[in-house]
Amino acid sequence: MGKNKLVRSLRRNYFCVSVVIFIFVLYLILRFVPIGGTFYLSFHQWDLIKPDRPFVGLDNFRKLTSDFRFREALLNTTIFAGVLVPCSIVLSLLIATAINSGIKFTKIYELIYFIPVVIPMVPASIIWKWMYDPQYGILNYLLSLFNIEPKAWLVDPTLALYSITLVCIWKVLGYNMVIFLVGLRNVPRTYLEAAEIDGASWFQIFIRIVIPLIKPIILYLVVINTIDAFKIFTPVYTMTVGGQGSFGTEVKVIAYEIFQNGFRYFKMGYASAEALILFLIVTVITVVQFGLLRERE
Amino acid sequence: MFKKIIVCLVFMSVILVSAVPALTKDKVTLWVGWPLLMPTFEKVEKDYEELNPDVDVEILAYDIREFERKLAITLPAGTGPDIFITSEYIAPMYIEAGYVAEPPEKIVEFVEDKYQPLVVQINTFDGKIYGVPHIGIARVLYWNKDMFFEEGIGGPPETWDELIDYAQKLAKYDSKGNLVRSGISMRLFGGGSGVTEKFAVHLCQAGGTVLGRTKDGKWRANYNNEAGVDTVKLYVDIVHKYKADSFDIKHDTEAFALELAAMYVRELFPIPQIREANPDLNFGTALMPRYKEWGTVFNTESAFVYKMTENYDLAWDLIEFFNQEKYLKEWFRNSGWVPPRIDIDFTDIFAEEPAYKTALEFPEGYIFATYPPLPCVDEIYTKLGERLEKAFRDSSLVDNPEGIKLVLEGAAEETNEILRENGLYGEGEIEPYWVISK
Repeated sequence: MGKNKLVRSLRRNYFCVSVVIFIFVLYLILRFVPIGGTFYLSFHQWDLIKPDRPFVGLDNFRKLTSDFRFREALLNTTIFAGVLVPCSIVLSLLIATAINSGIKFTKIYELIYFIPVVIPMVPASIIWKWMYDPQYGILNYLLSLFNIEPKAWLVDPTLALYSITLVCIWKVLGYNMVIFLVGLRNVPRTYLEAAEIDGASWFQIFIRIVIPLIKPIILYLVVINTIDAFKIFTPVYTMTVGGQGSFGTEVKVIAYEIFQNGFRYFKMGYASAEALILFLIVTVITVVQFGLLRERE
Repeated sequence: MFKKIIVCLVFMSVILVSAVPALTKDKVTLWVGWPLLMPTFEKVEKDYEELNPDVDVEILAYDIREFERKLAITLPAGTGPDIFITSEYIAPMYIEAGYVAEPPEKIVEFVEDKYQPLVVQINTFDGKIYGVPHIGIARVLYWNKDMFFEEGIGGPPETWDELIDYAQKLAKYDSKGNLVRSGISMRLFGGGSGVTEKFAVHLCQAGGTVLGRTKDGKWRANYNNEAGVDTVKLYVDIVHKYKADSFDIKHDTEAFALELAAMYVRELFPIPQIREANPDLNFGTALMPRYKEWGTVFNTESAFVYKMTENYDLAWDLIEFFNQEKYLKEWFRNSGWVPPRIDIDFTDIFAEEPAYKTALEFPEGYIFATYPPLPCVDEIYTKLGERLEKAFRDSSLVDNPEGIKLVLEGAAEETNEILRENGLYGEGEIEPYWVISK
């Protein structure tokens, strides 16, 4: 009886089922198969050129524990995410709140803040690279107006990481702002008016009413921004990796380490082990974020 | 309706007819990791197709790292190009894996007769020649003649002492004491293996090489010794003691062309770029200054044929074709791409650009440190470069040979570990890996 009901249901929803199956199969091929392949390779050794892939067990993971470059990349990536996520969330929320407060020319402000989002990362990184130029860059020029010594923005290893973080905050601000605007505009006005009538200040209304109501949006942005932060690659590659005396000191981040080990040194097994560790770290962080920020039933 | 069908049929016929010649043509593909070679390769393509109308030539250039990745993926997959031009330290891993075809006897004889003995030696793998050398690249010293003459210096430095002395005299500072023109632009950073490569240029003058050969034919780090200490000391002193270079200003070709550096070390191919960027720049090139030894780093790029090619004869024919004097001279003239041929007279090229002469005329006893033909050499050079970059920043290494030794020992441990992982580590007596000009 149950089987007949299922068959009848499938026949009725034939079109929906076939579309979903197609997408699911595509997703399986494009996502799960490569992830499975990476998992498999992490326990093997492979130089990309010869066909043999000897099984090495946990050897790759053991090497990772003593690899100071991997540790440095992990630290840099964590610092990057730790600065980028809170700064971009807080700044974009403040901007969205200001735009939503009824100021003039809101559409123009929305446009200005969203422009960086639509600029592809490579040209944006190149533009910032020139702005960071130690001798001809506009940033050092502005510093010189205040008699501040020029900075080697992309050459000093500590400063380089924060220089890239600044670019990424600039890039993601508009996206976060738009999402927050949607949330803020959906906060029922009646709640805010009632709070005003009860004598609540702007700050109390913001903290006690607005923030709890837009918590799902905050969670979404924190999770997405964190995942993106841990995947950072393009601005690092464009701005600090160059060779031929380019004015950038390579900033070690995990994605670039994976790329370097896999496609420069041809140590695919080792790179796969690093990718697996990154996957586990991001999964754990995401689960923790869900746990801390999700609405309690 | 009938007219529409006729028009469609005619249109499809035209397409089919024009595609038939392409389908019946032989196709030969060539990949190279140097886009600067493309203008002349486009001529090669056009000229070869005019002489061989039944052949379709496709020549593609990629950025060098992108090119190396493409080779690594396509050659094992059976989708590689018929011909690829690569260096003598990349080729061995493909030769070992069986992806490189052995050339016909006439090609081997051609290489043995027409090329510099040094180049033939570098391109001989297990006693066999596999490729036709396309370039021999020696690193030379660039010097800004006007800056030198302004300071009363008559010519380029010939010793390390002169190098250090001139670098101090040529450096310029602003009113706050910040360096605005480096006396010599050293390769202090920049990612990749370039830092180590330029370090190796000075290292060979101090008597060392990045890797040395052991008696059992294996390898070991050869820079954690007096030669390595002297070379790191040279860098650290120039930056921190004599303040003739700095991390905070432009470097390399860009700095030299903008007249922000009085000297620097590079291959010859920046020369056309410098001439274009600053036509009035009065500069010259010179052999590297001597210290305990006298020499530089040298490597080649050669054309190899893919073993799985379906156009073996055509591929070698095309290689012979673009190795004609007219194309080689054009590459040399326009790109600074030095053909290491002993049978071609380059007097006309030197008359147009005297700076090129340094790359082909070497005195007896001049050392050429070459890249070891090992698959892990890029990893060794890149990781050593990262450590060297940190050392060059460290002002506590000034007048601190023990500190420098510690840095080099740590780096050598890593280098040797990489060699062990690849089954290439050797014990016992070690010799520097270089060739001496006769």
